[in-house]
Amino acid sequence: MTKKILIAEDEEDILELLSTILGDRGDYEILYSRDGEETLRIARVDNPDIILLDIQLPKLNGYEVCKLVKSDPTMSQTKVLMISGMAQNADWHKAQEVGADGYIIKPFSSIELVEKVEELLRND
Amino acid sequence: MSHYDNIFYRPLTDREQLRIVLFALFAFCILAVSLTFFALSIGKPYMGIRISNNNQGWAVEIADANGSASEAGIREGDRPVEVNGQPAQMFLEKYEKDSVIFGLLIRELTVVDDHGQLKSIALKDSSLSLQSLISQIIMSITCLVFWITGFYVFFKRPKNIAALLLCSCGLALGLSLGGNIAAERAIPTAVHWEIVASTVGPWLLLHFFLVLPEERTRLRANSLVYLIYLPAILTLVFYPLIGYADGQPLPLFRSIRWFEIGVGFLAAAGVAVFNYFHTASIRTRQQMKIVLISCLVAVVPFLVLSVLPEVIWGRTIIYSGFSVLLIVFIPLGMGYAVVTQKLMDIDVVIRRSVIYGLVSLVMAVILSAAIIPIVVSQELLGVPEEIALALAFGGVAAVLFGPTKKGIETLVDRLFYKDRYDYRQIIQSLSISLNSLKDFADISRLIVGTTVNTLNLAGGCLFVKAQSGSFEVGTTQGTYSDTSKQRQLLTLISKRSHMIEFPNSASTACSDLAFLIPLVAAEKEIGILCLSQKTTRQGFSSDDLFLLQGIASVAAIALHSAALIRDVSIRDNFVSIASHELRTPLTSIVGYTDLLLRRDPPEVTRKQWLKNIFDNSQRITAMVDDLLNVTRIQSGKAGLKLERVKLYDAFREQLSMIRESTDKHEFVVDIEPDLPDVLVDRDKFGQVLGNLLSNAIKYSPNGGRITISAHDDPQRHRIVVSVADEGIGIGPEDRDSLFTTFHRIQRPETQGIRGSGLGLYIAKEWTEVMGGEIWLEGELNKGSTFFVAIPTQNSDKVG
Repeated sequence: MTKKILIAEDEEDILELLSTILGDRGDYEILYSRDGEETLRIARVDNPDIILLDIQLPKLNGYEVCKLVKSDPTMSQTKVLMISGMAQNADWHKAQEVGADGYIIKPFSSIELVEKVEELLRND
Repeated sequence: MSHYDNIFYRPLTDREQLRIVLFALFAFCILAVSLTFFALSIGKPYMGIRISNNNQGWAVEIADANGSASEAGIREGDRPVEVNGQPAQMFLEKYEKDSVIFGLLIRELTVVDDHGQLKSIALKDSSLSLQSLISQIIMSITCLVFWITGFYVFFKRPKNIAALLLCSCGLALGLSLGGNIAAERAIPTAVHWEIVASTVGPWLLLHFFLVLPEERTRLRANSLVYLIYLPAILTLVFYPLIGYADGQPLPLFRSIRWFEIGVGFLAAAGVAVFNYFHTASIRTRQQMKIVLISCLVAVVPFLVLSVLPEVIWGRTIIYSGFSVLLIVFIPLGMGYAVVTQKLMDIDVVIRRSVIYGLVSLVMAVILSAAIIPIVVSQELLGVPEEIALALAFGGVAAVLFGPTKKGIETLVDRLFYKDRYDYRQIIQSLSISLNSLKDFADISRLIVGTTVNTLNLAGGCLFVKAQSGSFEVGTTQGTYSDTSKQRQLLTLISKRSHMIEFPNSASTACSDLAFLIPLVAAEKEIGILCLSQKTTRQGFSSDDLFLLQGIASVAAIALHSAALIRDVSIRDNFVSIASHELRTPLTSIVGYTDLLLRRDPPEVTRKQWLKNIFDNSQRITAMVDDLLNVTRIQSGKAGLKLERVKLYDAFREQLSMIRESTDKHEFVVDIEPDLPDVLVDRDKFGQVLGNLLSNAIKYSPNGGRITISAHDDPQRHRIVVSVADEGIGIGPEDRDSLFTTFHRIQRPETQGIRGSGLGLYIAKEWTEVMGGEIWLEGELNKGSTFFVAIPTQNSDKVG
């Protein structure tokens, strides 16, 4: 079954980059969102298998979105992979606190990203 | 003479240096003359006598106890028989008119007393009595203390006219005493020196008290003040003309002179008392208090131990010469008043002296009470009972000591120190409260609030040194909440050339300002506490000053810790933001490069990916430039290349670049024609405009109009440029820190807006470096307008 990936990123070229890396593999259905509220809305409707969630999102930041996703029983199966420009331990701890399943630091290689995503989907 | 002379040190001018050298030369000449007189007189006997002609003929009027005449048994009332080897009548004939002859003219004398007994004295055969020698030595020591104090104070504060006058007073006293001793021994010219010195002396003292107070700084430079010497000058003019004949000063002149000296001393004392009661400056009051106390210390023992017993019992308790020695407290007190910066201890000393004096008195009364029953019941009591009773009273006295002291303290404080409070307790609790605070604003508020409320001040303001080294308002209270006053204070602080000393009275510099207190920690000035006068316009007590000193010290430590925490937090924040801002474009660069290496996309996609890589490289470059600019600003290494630039060209250059980045905005340019060129650093001015324009675009995400205007402000020789947008606006909470490093507006609408938080900081710093000013107008959700005023001609600040 085709897995649904929701990419939540407000930087246009990174959004494009992520969708190129993952979309070209053909076995994923890619959804997009550019701010926190939109991410929540799409997540609730489409119930994606994984959300690639940028921390610095407009309207609602990544931590807030993750917390809401994880507290919603209808999305209990949805994995969250946080994407962060912050490379400090405190950020990773904060991500764990809000229930993120994975954490990837910018900049990342395409292989690293794909591996992380596949690993999280395998555990599904 | 500048307003700030009394607050700040400055180097000596050539004229001042010349004045100091000339005075030093003059002073050493006078010192040499005085020392010569002392040297010539020490150990030499003198007649110590005055003979006057009353109605019953010539008789000894005064016989000085230390003089040789007195040693030979000559007493007041004895009649002269022979003077200087001549029959008395013959010798005294030519002094008939003056009716008086002084000892300095007499070398040999024979008198007859009421009992018909003859007494003779010849100076060449007599020797100086021990008492007379001691008296000479004591006078020399007194003069020495005056000289040493005078010269010390003068060389310590060479440009202080009060110090120079104190030195002059010492010289006048020395010359007057030396001249007097030498004149009695008939040493040539000594009498003239003595008269000149003693005539001028009191007026020098008056001059000293007139110019000592800080608020009379202007009087120091006013030559009219020298009119006070007129009586002394008139007296001295009168002296050679009609005041001196036959080798001695004439009686009439002596009366005029004593009158003139008396008036001089009274005037000096009057001014000193006036200064004490009418001064606005606490420093002056403390200075006068010190002088007053030193005068009391000098005079009271003399009165109590010498004058009073002599009047009552006809003899002194201690030798009167020793009381003269106490006069040394006067120059010491005056010198301390001129030189010292720590004046406030004196009030505490007085309070303690009064309290312990009264406690001793009460204790003495209680112990004396023990004697009464013992004396009364002497016959009934045996020795053991007497001892027991004495011990019992001693015990009572010991038990009562504590409560008595407490009671007297309360009474004295209630009567004389009404506004006294325990400054130690306030400082302690302030220190504890400050320990729990980390935020600059909270710390500043607590410091200013505690100070202003405890001392009942009209206003207070704390300037904190920012990272860039300039002073910024930390917090204000009361009258200093007014921004124009804050600007005035900032100007005052920035004009100084040296670290401010505390305590100082800043009242001459700014009428309602009482103190500028530097907050120093780790040898660095980290803030300045500006305090106004009290709302009641009362002066500051010594406790107030102790409190201020204590507050300054705990405040400095608290601000220093907060600054360290701020620096660490700013650095952490910097690393975090810089890392994030660099990582985001790096992600694109790494990601697309990775894709290009792994895949072979169609030409169009390839070009797009390469463009993404290029754009993000540009973004990193801009970020690195901003970081470098901040480093340059903060290290003070921002070089400035001023040139005349046409405003329109500068805008066109920036607009052409910025227009490409947006299609949602409409640009309106409203620049007055024929504007004069601005005098700016082209690159830095370009950055200022560029940063304002890019902010206008970023913070109006829904688009809208961006209006660029410029108009001339010929009166202030500047052009005011403005960039207005219709964006999200800036709330009051962001206004204060808008121009600081890494400040980002944290609102839901700004979460997607990228930026380093450095643009406005750089814009402000560059504008100010170029002698301009930057400010903001606008409301939340109603757009913002940034103004930049740039000079059109060279000002002091430029270059």
